[in-house]
Amino acid sequence: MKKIFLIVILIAFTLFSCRFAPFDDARAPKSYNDWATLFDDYWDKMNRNYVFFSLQESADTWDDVYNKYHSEFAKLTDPIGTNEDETKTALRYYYDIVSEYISDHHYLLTFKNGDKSIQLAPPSIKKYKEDLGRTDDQAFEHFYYNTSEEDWNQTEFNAERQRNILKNTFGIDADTSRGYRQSTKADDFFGAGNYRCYVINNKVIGGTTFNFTILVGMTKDQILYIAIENFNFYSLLNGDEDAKAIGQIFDSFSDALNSAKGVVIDLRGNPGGQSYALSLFWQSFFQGNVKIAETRSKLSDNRLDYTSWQAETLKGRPDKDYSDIPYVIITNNYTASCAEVSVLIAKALERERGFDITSVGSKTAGANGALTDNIILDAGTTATNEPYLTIRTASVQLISGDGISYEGKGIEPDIEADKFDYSKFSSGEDVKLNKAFEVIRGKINN
Amino acid sequence: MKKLIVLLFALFLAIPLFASFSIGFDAGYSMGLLFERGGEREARIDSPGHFFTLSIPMSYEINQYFSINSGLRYSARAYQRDKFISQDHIYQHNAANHYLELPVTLRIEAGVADGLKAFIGAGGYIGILFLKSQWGANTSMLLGELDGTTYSSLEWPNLDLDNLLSAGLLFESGLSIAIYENFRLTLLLSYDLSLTNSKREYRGSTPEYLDSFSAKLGMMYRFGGDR
Repeated sequence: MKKIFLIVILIAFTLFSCRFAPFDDARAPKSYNDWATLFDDYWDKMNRNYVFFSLQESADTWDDVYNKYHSEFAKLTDPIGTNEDETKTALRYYYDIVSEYISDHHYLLTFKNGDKSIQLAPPSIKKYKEDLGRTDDQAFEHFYYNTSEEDWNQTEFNAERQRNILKNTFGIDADTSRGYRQSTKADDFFGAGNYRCYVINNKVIGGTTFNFTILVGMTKDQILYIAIENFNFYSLLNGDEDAKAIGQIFDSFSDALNSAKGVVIDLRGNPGGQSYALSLFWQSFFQGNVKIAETRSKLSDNRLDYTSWQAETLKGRPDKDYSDIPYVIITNNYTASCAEVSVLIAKALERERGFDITSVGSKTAGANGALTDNIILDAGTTATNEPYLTIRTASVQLISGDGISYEGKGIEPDIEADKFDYSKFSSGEDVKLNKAFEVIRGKINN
Repeated sequence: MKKLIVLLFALFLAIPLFASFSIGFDAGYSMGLLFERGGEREARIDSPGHFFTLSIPMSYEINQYFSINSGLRYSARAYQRDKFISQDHIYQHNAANHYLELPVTLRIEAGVADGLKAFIGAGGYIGILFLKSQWGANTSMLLGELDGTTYSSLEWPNLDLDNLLSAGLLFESGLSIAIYENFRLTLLLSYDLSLTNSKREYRGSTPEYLDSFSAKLGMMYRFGGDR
């Protein structure tokens, strides 16, 4: 009897072992120093952690990438970092992959080996080529050598950021120290005492450095203007002086909304931040629950194995909707992530609560998915086994509340402002701001 | 290989000369078990899924001890996957793959009491995936609020994700009791060992095997009188 039992166990074990083993040829070893194995490792990590294969023409496109580039990398025979020409060739291949195949506009591929470092991000590459009329060869040279180019630095993508807006449009220097700021120009714009601008520079909390600016002011014709640099302020709300100042500014929203005739929310150059901060900001404007988006992540490492779409619902704080006044949101090419989701929130308020919201400016960045390390949501940011490449990528796909994906595309504004002109911007002529106020005043006066 | 096929075909043709034939109906509980190879993730737990199965079994009795059993079977292989982040339950996902299958087993049976027979058998099955269902609860991934909204859906297989073909080995045991002339009540326990990946394979894909354990109650009618 014992023999029969043992034989049965042996047969069962054998049969279980008959199942196909995982594709071990896709798993890189822990240690290597050749370009081909590094590429295999990168390809495999992407295969298992990238959530946007469903946005490609075909999920098999990633196989095409392997078939095309593995043999090319295999021709580079010197160890990584020992041959400058091979390094440049290899990084050109990665440039081609990132610019041609990646839909995720949070994506950032960083190669680092000793002194050599290069960062490749789809939005930067696209804007560099579009705004400056450059070819892929020229773009690659720029990113490979990380050259500082004045005309690139003076594009909307790089120049039209909140601190430059504070400096050029409102005459406020936000780059040093921290605390409240004021200026003559801001006094003229809002009226003395009718605004608050708070600035934080290089504040370290839990090993992370935070920079933050917020400007909230009421113009003489009662238009509430809010300009917020990023949505990283949640970590700043830790009870200290900075936290109190920011808290007071947010608390002033309700009173301001009760007396405002219109609201302009300036999200230019806002790259996003923490979703808790996003909630905190938008909860001031409406009551009850509003579905703002849907998200999904991965169920397994298989490319198209997603969780079900999950509704993302924001809960408002006040006891009413502030929907009886018009809103304008100003966006630009660098409005991304939580700032871009802000536009989706605005669209949801418009769609579900009848808010009158108009977006003015230029198309947003197209970076919507939330960013986490892949161990948290089984997809997202990862790195190769040998630390040559780090891959920053979203863990979550996000679509608008009415089912549209803007990932990799961006959200077109309702009213497109004139093309960014650095000379005008740097001299204080803020074309997008002027357009926003023109629109809001037109609505108020009608 | 050709000779083997010819031999099996000849045996198959010869069976009716000696066999008697039974047909019936059975249904019961099916517990699905997911086995994933190589794609394990932290704080993600797979648990058995629960569904039902039903079939129209057919039996060719070669002699009083041996029979070949087949039929048409509907089998749902379900599983549950839960994901946690710290103490937070991020999702509970239940999925069932619905198959139409053709099982074939060789059984050995023996009488254990008056009218009561016991049997064991082994063989295989082949089938096709025709439907998928999923249901569960999610938590907001963006806003961090644990609202646990529920969902359920039926969908056609996704040719880019799913393997339509299902095949594997089948092990069974059970009891049958004569309850009326030509009618036998059957209790069947079986284990399906999947040999096919439930997901479409490509370079670097993570194989997933869906086994099932089922317990079914059924009725068989024998043409040609009971033994």
